[in-house]
Amino acid sequence: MTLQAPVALSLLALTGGIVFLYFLRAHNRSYDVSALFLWEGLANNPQTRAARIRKRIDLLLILQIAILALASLALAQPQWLTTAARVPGLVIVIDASASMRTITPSGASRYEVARARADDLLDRYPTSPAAIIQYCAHSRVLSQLTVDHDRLRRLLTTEHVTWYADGDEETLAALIGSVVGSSDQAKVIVLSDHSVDVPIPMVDEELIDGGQNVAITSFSVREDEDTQGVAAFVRLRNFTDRYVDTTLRVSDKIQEVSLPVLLAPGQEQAYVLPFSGSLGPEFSASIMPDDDFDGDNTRYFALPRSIERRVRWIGERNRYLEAAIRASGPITILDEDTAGPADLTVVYNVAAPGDVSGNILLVHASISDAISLGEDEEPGALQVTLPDDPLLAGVDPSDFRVALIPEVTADPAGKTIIRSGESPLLYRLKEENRSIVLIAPDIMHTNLPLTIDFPVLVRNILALLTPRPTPPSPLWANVGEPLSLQGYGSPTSLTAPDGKTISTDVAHTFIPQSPDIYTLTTDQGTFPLAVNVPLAESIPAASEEAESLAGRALNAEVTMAPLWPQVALAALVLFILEAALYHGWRLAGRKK
Amino acid sequence: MDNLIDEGFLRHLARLRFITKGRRASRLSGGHPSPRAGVSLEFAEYREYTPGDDFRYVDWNIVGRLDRVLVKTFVHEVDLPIYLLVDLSASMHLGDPPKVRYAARLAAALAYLGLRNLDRVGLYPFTDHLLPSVSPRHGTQQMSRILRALGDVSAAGTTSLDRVLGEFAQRTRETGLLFLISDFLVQGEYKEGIERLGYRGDEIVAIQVIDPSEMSPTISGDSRLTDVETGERLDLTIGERTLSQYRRRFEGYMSSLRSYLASQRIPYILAPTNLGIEELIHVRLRAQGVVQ
Repeated sequence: MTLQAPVALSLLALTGGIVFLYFLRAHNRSYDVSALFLWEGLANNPQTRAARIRKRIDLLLILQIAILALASLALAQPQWLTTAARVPGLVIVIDASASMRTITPSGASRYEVARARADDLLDRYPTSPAAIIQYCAHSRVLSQLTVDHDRLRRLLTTEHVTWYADGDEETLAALIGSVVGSSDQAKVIVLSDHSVDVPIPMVDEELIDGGQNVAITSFSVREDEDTQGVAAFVRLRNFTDRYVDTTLRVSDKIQEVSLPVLLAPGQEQAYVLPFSGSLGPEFSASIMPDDDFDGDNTRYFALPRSIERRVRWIGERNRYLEAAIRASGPITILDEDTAGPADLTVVYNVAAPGDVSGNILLVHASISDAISLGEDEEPGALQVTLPDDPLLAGVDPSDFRVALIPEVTADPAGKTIIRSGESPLLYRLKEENRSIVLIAPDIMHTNLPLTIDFPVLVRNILALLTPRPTPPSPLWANVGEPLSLQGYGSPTSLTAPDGKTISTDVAHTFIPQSPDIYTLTTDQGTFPLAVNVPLAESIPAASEEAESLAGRALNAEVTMAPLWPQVALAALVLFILEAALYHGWRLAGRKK
Repeated sequence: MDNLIDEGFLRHLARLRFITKGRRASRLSGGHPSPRAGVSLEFAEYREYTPGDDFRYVDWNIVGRLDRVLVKTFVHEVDLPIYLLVDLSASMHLGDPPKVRYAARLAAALAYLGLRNLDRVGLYPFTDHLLPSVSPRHGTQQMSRILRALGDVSAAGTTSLDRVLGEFAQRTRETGLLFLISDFLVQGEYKEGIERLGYRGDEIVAIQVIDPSEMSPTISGDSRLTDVETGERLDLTIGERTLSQYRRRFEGYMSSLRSYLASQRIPYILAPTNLGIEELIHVRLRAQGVVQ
């Protein structure tokens, strides 16, 4: 038996006080007599109250001392330990992967059950040094071996289950080795919802099982060939032992398509949902079944088409030109003074400075050293000089009408695609570091804004000047998987779904913590990042294995019990008995 | 003397004298008859003349009338040694007034009475053994010695009457009138000594000094009784029933003591400390034929 608080035994010193009070109250009056033999053998007078009180106090004194002794012992928190209740080291491995969020039939999650079990283990080995390892895709030692079990319990309270995948068993073995060293006497207990095959002989596994699951096991979106919509591919699986009737919904945050589904027990079914006219780029597929693990009831997908172009605008704004640019795809228009890189510089009706970097669209604008404009003049006849130029793909220039056009002095290395008289109307120049496209007339002096070909022309120009960047790969990841952001350009910000900015490390590596769609902004554009729960977390452990592990867990029980509740109960019983005797005798004394 | 005895009391004692039951043998002349013939005025008897008898005691009238030579003998009066054995054990210290005080006053009175009648008086205080004593002598100086000895007494120790009376018998060769003043609260430890002295020829007078509270105690409740002589303790819850038992037991003890002393023809005088010494001597001692 051990005492958790032996200092409480100091209360036993009060026994002396009780005995002192007893003798103070019960002492006899002294008389000197000449011959004691005359008194010897005389009977105590049973009728006297003093005799009754004396008898009462004798028993009450014993009871009071016993109560005090038991109360002191209870406060000292005795615990009965078996010889097996102490080990050189107790290592508790708690599975914190996403599947541990599954709700068990008891109403608690698997992780909460494991945490309670860990608490029990600490109670059962109160004097053994213990350590806790969190086991998941990022396994780590929460605490090295320590006898400060209160600290370990606080750790169990503050640490939470993750959305990560299962951990690597070799990594776990290395962590266990780092805790226990070369000792083979330590006890390692793995609390997980699946078998963990750690190559260490002293490991005991305790399976935390329970809960049923219906999962979206796969979700992707693909653009239609005509780029007018997308098709969503979804695969569902029913891991439960019952039929599941639910609705599959696919959404791009603006539109939603839904499909009622019925899944037989154990059935896996794939679905293709056409999603016409969707621009994306963020998609989610969700079901709302009555299951115990919600991490795979929604999955996310990001489409590469969602890359935005950033356009720096120099000169006065022109809404027709701007609308045509916007119609070509998502853009962000930056002012001339806005810092930061741009995919394209649009110059309208002004002379652009010569140091503009990057590709340039000049509309009735000049740029030093390359293109200069003279006064507007009456135009000459329009003549298409390069009808097969990509800028004219899908464009019929015959409808173009021009009222005024400036005289243009341009680098002869460039290509004049449409000519008005001798002056270029549509011109492009490929320099070493940039490309320049010139629409020479002020579009307000032409009928271009009114033609249906103008947006096509502008789209062709932007396709030439701002080719869509190579989609970074991937735009999706699993929770807990490190994702290098270097491939997306130079990151400027990473935003969580709730709008909070996420800081990344110096290597620009991002480890997503929960499933959803994140937003990454780099010098290459803005990218959505779809993050999902690892597929393996949706798959429950085999039931046969669960039974065998549960049996092993029972065999691994050790016997140890705290004694203080029983001792405190005994003290309470004696206290009640003492009070009853006291009052009983008092009443009896009054009647007599 | 003032502490123990006063002048008025002594004047009343002057008219009293001790009575002895038989003729005493003593070498000293006194006021008490001796079994031997003596020279006193009191005729004793006639006896045949034997050679050597004093011719002055031949009764010539008898010779003339009966033709027998008879000589007259006279009673030989001797003095009476009076021994005052006073118990000074611890139990004699109890009572109000203390029993030892009462015993000392009684012993002083008896000593005065003896010395007044020209007897030799000796004082023998004792506990469980004889303490330094005052040997029997005549005269007023002896009274002073006895009073001085009685003035210094203090009660302590246990009581052992058998042993004390044995020592007394060894220390004194002459028999006499022995006043044994004690509370006699000993458990049968006096018979052997008394019988030994009785066999020797001493006349014993037993005076039992008792405090009234010992006859009828007023103790009640949870009590711790301590024997002042042995130090033994007894815890007792005392009520009326207990006291009744005690009184019966005390009376029984006294009765057995009286019976024993009567069987030995020893006068027994109960002397409660609330009884005056004068009354004790004039009434109880006279009633027992100790004085006249």
